[in-house]
Amino acid sequence: MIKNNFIVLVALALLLVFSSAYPQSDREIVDNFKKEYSEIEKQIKNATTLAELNKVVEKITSLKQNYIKHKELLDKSLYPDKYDKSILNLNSAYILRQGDFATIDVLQSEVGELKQQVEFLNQRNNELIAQVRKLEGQTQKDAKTIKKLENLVAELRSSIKERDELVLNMIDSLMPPTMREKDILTDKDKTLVMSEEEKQNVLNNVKTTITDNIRFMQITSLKPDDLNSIREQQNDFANKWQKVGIRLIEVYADDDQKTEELQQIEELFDNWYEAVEMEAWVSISEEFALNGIDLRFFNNGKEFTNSVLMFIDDELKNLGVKSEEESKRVYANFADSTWFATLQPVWMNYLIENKMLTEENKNKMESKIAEWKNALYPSNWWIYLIIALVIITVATFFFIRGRKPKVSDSVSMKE
Amino acid sequence: MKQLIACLITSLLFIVACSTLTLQPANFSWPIESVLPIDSDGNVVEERYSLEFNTAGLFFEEFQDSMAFGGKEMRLIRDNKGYYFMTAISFKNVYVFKAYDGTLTKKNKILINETGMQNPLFNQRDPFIELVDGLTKLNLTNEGIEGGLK
Repeated sequence: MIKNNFIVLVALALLLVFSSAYPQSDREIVDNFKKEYSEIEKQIKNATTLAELNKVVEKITSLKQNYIKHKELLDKSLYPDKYDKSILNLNSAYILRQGDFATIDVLQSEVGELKQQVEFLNQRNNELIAQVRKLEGQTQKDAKTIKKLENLVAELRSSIKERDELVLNMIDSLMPPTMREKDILTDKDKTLVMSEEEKQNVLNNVKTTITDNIRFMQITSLKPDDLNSIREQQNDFANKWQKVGIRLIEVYADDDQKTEELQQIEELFDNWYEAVEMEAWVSISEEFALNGIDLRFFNNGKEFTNSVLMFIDDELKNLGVKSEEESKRVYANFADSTWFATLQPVWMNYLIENKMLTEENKNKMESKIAEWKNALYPSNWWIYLIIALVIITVATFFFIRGRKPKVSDSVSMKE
Repeated sequence: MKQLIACLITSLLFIVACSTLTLQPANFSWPIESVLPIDSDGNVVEERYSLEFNTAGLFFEEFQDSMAFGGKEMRLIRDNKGYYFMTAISFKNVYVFKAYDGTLTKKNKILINETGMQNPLFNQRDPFIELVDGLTKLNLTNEGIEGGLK
């Protein structure tokens, strides 16, 4: 045993002596340094986790220690940098990369917190939607129920808005700004950005957000102010999606489902836009229906105009058929209670500003309403004209008669 | 006598006026050798020091075959005086050149090994150029091997 150990020790000593005696090329030393330098540089660039990056620190220290004895040679041979500058470059690259991970780490913990809030709000929204549906379903609504319904809708609207904002923040956090600017995300970038925990959730959250907004509009009747606020929110969401959506799909969708996912979300956006536009027409139709006016179905400005014109034409045709009282009641419901009470002051600007209705069509409808009114309440201006003419004629007659001198008076004067 | 002194002073002034301007000290040494691949025409390019030359003549001198450069690499280093030392695998000699008027002119040919070197390499060991081939290690100057071949 002792003999064996002795042989090993001698062999090692010989190897040491031999290796130190063996002449080494300066160029080989420089080349080896460059090679190790490049490898560390590559590892820094390719690190996908902070743990992986931290391993590089040891390598930089080891490179520094191993080559310190060749500092003079390296200073002369490395071009344009020197030994110290090369080590400094590696350290700087490491710190810079560490910064990337720190940002991503912070963003991912933000996402974790946002996720919990979004889940809570999703659940709350579902409950609110169910309650609103239940109340909407009641055939007879007393003042208390209507008040409750209004409160629920307000709560639901604010809750949906809050959830949308959270989802927007989440999208922001999931895609660091530096990654948004890249033309193409490499596999390395994708790994860096992807939060495994969010793989299933992120695209679903976007879909849920849009779907809930559509559902909200389907169960509620909204006013222009609400719709304007929804449009604003919709534009924010759409802009954000345009900026990072494709990137999120690249990172979070499975390879064979990327196109399908993108298509689904784009379709949902289209449906949402359509729902907002449709909501205005539904609300207007409901306003008329509330006053017992059943207009033919319409979902755009042209159809709305045709529907109104057709309704008034029918009423005009029925003037002699229906009783005058009934015709006047329909007119009052249409014009006084709906058109001039709600449609014109509340909706008209919204429709015109959002290019949902043209000025031309608006004027057409208003002329028709005036025509309808005239038919129901004909103006008696010609009677007043005749009376005025008679009065003027009589007055003129007496005036002329009053100024004419008497014949007897003129005779006596001559005498 | 006066005439002699005047003549001496005139000559001295003439010599001083005609001497070449010399900047010194100067050091031309490269810190490490360059290993340069030889292209199909026999040319090598040293990018860091902007040096380019054709090796066909050198291979003819060494092997009597100006096309023997195929697939070889040239090892090249410059000493502090500005002499270029060149060799390659299988060379028996190290060649010493001086740059002059757009050419590299051979100044010396130092015999190292009659059977050809296995894997020669140069190190800068100012004022010498160290030649290493396996276990052989020699200090070279433009005049030959320092202390002679052992």
